[in-house]
Amino acid sequence: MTLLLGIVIFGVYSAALLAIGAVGFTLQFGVTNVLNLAFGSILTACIFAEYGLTGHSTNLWIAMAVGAASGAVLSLLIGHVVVGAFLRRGATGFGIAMVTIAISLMVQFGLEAIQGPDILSYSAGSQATMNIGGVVLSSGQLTTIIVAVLAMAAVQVLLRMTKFGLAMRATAADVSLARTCAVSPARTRAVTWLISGALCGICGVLLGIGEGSFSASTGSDFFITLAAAAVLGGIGKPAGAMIGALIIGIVSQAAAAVIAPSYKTIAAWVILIAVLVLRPQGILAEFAADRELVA
Amino acid sequence: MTTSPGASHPAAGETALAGSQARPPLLRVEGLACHFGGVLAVQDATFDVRHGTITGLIGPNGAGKSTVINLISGSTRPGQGSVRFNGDEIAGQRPHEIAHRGIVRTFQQANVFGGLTVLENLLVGAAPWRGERVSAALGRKQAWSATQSGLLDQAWDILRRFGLEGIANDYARALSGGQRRLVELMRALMAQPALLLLDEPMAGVHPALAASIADRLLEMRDAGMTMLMVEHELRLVEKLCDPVVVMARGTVLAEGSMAELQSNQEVVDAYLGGGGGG
Amino acid sequence: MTSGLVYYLSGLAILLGINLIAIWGLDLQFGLAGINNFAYIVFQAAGGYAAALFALKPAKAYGGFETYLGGFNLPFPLPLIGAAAVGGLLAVPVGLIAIRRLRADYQAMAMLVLSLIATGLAEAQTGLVNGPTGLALIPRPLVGIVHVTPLGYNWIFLGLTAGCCALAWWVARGISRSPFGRLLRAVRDSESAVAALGRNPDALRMKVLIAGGALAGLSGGLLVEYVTAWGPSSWLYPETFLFFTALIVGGKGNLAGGALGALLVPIGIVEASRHLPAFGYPGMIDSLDWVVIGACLLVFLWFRPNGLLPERKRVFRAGRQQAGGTQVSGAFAQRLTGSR
Ligand SMILES: Nc1ncnc2c1ncn2[C@@H]1O[C@H](COP(=O)(O)OP(=O)(O)OP(=O)(O)O)[C@@H](O)[C@H]1O
Ligand SMILES: [Mg+2]
Repeated sequence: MTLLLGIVIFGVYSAALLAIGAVGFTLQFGVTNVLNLAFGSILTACIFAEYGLTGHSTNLWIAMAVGAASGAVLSLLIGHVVVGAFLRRGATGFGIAMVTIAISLMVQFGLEAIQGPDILSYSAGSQATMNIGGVVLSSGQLTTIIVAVLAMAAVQVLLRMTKFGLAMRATAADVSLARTCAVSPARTRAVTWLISGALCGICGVLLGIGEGSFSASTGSDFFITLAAAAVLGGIGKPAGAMIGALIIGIVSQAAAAVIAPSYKTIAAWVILIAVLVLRPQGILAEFAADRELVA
Repeated sequence: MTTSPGASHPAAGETALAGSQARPPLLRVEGLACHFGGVLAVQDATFDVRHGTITGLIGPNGAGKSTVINLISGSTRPGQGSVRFNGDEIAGQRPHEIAHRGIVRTFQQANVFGGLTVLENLLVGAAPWRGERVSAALGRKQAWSATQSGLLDQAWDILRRFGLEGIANDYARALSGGQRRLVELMRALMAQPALLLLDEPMAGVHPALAASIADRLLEMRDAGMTMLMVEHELRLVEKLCDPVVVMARGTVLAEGSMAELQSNQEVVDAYLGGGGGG
Repeated sequence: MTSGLVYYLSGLAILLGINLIAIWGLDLQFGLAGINNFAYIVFQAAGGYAAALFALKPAKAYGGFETYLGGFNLPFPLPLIGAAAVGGLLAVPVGLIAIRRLRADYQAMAMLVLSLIATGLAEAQTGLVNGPTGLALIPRPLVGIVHVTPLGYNWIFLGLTAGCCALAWWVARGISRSPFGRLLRAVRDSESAVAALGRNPDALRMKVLIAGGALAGLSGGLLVEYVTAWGPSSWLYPETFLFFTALIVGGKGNLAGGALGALLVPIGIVEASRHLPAFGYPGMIDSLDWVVIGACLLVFLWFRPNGLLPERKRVFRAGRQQAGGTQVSGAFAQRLTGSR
């Protein structure tokens, strides 16, 4: 019983953590149509930045704000500036995959060079815990669930109720059409990279707190699981990403509990490949194969 | 081998199924249908392509002409209906299997191998041969180079006939849109197809050159090659195609010689008179 | 030259040769046929494990300090042949993803994840290939049969590597200059046009995936037999990009380009940096290597995407002159429509 409750509660926590990152990833993909393989490295870089700037901050919200700010800046720099430059030169899907991988390697191993061989322990905010029917949840994990709910709500409000959200959806649907509707696609995309980076940073900080430690490769492994959630929900669809995160979160907790802990990620990754190969449009959304790539 | 006398292309008219001594058509399309999502692109298309004809396929934009070509060549899987080639059912087969039977097509959007030279494009066009096997690649060059020289001669011949030997060694990606179209046509000719499907081969080609291509196509028809050709330029259709199949909104509206079609009020309303569908 | 230096240089030459084989294998798949194989390192890994398991005695023979499947104690050259065969066979399941018509970036990601899953499984299934620790004590070829100094052995191994390089060159050159290679380049540009001309693009790609995979397997086998150890940390997913970078720097679709890339990237960057005066903590230079490799990749993608030695154009001179004029037109048409 506690096992099942544990799977559900930690599944919800994993899902919340995944959803924050996955929504950022998928939002950016939906608007720019660029599959950003450097997302995981940005995520790691945000933990490093937060750790370097405030150390063991006592306030979780400050830590998240710092993470969000560094993620936004990095994402804009990498996505809008570097990837954008390659796109203006006519790079195609494979070229962009190569570019983002190259950036990812540089960031990840650059951080490894800074970090050294040790794993850095990390914490922020209060260390209190909460007991739910025998399952112990830390305050960081609880905050993650709350932040995820807030972030999801904020993204939905942004997309559905603001003028900028309309611009984002217009750019996602059709760039040239958006342009004729007096929306500036370039500015919309830049802001999208910022928002996506901010969510990435928040996700990174919460991941670091949840794990209690981090290293230069923390983000790259987590990113693949996060991408599994995004792809499962239909890449480019924030609402789908949330559902995807929930499924992935629970499936990976179950795999860890039932098979072996090392299968936690493998299970999610197998789902990712299966969805990419068999049903790239995901479980919810329509397919955007023919759209041009823009940044 | 299977060339029919040039005079055999029939005077058009009602498809004479009952005609006792009539040879069965090279290609028979029956009840073909295909939809994309909710759009019925082709519904119940039925027509024949007889040996030694250049059969025209005309109709307004979006009528479903390219889709019919895609369905015959296997690029798109038909929802229902049958396509018989030399009496064999080919609907639902994969594109390379259909091409292997001798049905070669060109694409409406010129589809050349950009990273290959024009000459190499033509060489790839040649019907599959032994030298292309992996075993040949790992064996001695002499085993395939003689056959390849023969193909090269053939390719040079075609290039000269189209007056394009000057670009033989240019990368196809460096060519203009019209030139690419020609490369695609020449590449299809290299295959010596039994049935050539042409999707607007003259679009974007200079009128003088288009006229000379038309002459080439007539020569080949007289030598027995069969073609199904989508074309919007009605003067070319009139010069080349007999019979002509008219499509509109996914179905076959009428079939006959150009002269007959011009006197068919339905066709004139749908297409000919209206200046393209209006 | 001191014998220490000679020993070092002969070892370097062996590594160069091993990388060369792997890079030519990738060039067949990616340079020639345009397959985005971001899981290429898995082929090398599979070859390495195959060679190891074929060469090792059963685990009991070593007192059971490592656990693995098999241990066939086969004599040279069977482990190497087995490595190439396993690399080639691996193409069949991997091809299910690598050959599918998918958006290029989705495919790249799927292949990348495949590489991660392979690592994850090798680590998780400890009974398969000894888990995260990896295999050790892998017997070197001919040891116990020839009795030579370590330097002498290096020369023998270098000869073996050179022989394998010659074999790889023969395969890669044979394919790239042949009509088969031309079809592969055609598939790279337009699969639909290749199919419309009567060839099965999936079969073409599968064949080259197998050929490239066999070369990768062979290089993995050689590497493992040389270094005598092989574990998941030897073939993490970034290693694939070492080869991609070498190809993009040197020039894809060009055997000399691949060779230049092998010299510049795995040997030039990775080996040369070992001779820098030590700084930072141990391992810092290794991390910085990857930063340099990533930067190289970006710089070349931006400034010289076709590499230092780009793919060469295959030029054919006009052959037998055919008289022009109208009389031949009938003959021309006849030839075109003649017997199939
Ligand atoms: N891949 C596709 N997906 C969705 N709809 C399609 C697709 N291909 C064709 N259609 C639809 O099918 C219909 C027929 O298209 P088709 O290309 O066959 O027309 P066409 O007669 O060749 O026109 P044109 O003269 O402009 O080339 C059109 O309404 C088109 O929108
Ligand atoms: Mg069309």
